[in-house]
Amino acid sequence: MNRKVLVIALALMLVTSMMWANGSGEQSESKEDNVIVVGLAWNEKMQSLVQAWEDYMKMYSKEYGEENGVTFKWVVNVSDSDPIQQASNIDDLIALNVDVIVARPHDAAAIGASIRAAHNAGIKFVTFDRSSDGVKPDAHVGADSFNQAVSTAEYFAELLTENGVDGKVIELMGDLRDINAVQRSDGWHSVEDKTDAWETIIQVPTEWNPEKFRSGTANALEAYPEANAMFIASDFAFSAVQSALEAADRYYPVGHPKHVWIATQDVNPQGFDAMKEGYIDVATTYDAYFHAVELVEVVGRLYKGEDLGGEAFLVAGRVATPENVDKLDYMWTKEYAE
Amino acid sequence: MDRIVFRRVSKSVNWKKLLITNSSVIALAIIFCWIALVTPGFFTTRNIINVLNQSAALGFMVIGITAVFITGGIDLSIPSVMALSGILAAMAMQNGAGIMMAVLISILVGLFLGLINGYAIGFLRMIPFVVTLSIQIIGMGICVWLTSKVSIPISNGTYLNAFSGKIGIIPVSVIYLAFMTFVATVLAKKSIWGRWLYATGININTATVSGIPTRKVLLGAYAWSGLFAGMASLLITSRLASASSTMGQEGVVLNIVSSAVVGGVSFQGGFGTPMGAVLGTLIITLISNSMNMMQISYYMTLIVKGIVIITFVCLDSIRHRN
Repeated sequence: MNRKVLVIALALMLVTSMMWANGSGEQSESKEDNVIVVGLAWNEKMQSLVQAWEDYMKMYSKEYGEENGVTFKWVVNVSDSDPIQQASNIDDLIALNVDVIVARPHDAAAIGASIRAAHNAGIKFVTFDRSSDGVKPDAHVGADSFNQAVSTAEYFAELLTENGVDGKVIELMGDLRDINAVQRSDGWHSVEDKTDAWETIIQVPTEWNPEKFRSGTANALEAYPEANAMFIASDFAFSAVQSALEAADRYYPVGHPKHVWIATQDVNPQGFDAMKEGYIDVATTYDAYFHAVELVEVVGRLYKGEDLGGEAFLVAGRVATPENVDKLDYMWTKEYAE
Repeated sequence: MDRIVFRRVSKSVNWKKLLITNSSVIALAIIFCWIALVTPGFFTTRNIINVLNQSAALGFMVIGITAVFITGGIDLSIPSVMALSGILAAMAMQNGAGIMMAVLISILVGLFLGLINGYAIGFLRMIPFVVTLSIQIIGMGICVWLTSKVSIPISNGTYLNAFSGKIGIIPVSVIYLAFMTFVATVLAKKSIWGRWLYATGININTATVSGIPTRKVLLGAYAWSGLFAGMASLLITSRLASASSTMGQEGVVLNIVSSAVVGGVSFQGGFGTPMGAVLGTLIITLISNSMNMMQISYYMTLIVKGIVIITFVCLDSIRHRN
């Protein structure tokens, strides 16, 4: 009997609150003039890079807003590397009726369903950093991996020529199922073919696995003792490469006769100090700040009603060397150092 | 005389017990009211349907683990069983299989892996934690091996409509969940197997001595869990229009277990109902949804979720002690 009373009382509470809440109408996020509500769906937030992106987006959106007479309001959620949760989080953003959804997809295929759902609700969708496999978003903002590698390789070609080095290169590739890894390798080889400044004597796929960076370097040095240069698809695992070079007595800074000439990509925290100390000769930055700038501008254009037709806005990065790496502005690696 | 006895009985109602045993219903009501107060627009039709839709697949997995929890066990393999079922069904469709074959594959793969868990735990007397964790790892390995970490897109319109379509404004997944909750509740309450489950969970030795085939009961509980993981894969793969190994990450277990516990299913066996577990699923989904709606930071969301789970585990301990 008492249980029934309890359930009835609770049901009444529910109905009352529903009635009260229903007064607020169907539109969850009230639309104010010149306020761009951006739903930002991260796939994870355990890396400092993601926090850097978000902070730079918010920072630059203030600057952009002042210039363009708009205010940005950011609604952020995170899905803990779970594509199901990311789909739910994006559904929540759709329910909130935001103006534009920006998502860093955890799964390139699964994000298609969310893009469709947003479009059905009349909401613009931008993929960030990672693109969608099937369904086309309104725009994509990310890194220009091919040109990132090209700018590194062009500088490296000049460097080897200036120093009279006959380059014999070990290439540590990324995961060949990752389009960024493939494009970085393609960019590297396009300059090699054009300049003939070095010869890539071995290609080692690492699957972005630090252990394979280490074993790949060790095995390649063993098989090709004449190797005197390396192209590393990303410096996020540079400590593994360093360990293998040290074991082979080849880890020396520029100027030392045993120095291995190294070109890499990104300038992550793991490679930043090695570059400053002259172990890495050149890299092209993975520019969190400029990605954020591009993203904010794309969102602004979509809000104004421009049709971007699913165009990809790619940021190529800046060439960093031991001489300038400490002086470059907006280096997230430096600003978000652990 | 009779009237006097009746009065004594009604005065002796234990409110503390009443509150503890109905904790999930009370929590759901309080959370609902609180969100209504602090989140204008929460009760939009779109968002209510959104919450129900988000709860559907999780609800299936929670109904599955409820049977295991009632026996006093645990099933950590649900995410990878779900992912493997979905991947194999998606691969079959990619190779021309129709919807019926895909459904059959999903369900049978789930059931098969559940039977392996159940046999190892029920008949070989292996520890549930170790067995199911191992199956989770093996399952994930197979998922990654089969897909090379690349998602398999699903474009079969009939399949997508059958499991992620809508009837009017109601997603079919919600209707499936409501139906299966009813079936599971009837089985748990009215069938002999249901009674055996509770008896096994309360005290397996007493149940065995009483003639209950506890080994078969355990086998059935884990098979049930696998079966529901397979069915959940149908809802998830149709919602995402793809299948991938990332669906089966260990983190999913936290949502499944917390939903069951919040829904009043005891970790320690012998207590809980499928209906309560589904209510728990709604609570966990509501927490995530409301945090997103209120634009609360990610870090705070983690803290709130953790506090809710600890609170309900604490209630479970009190209930068990009582």
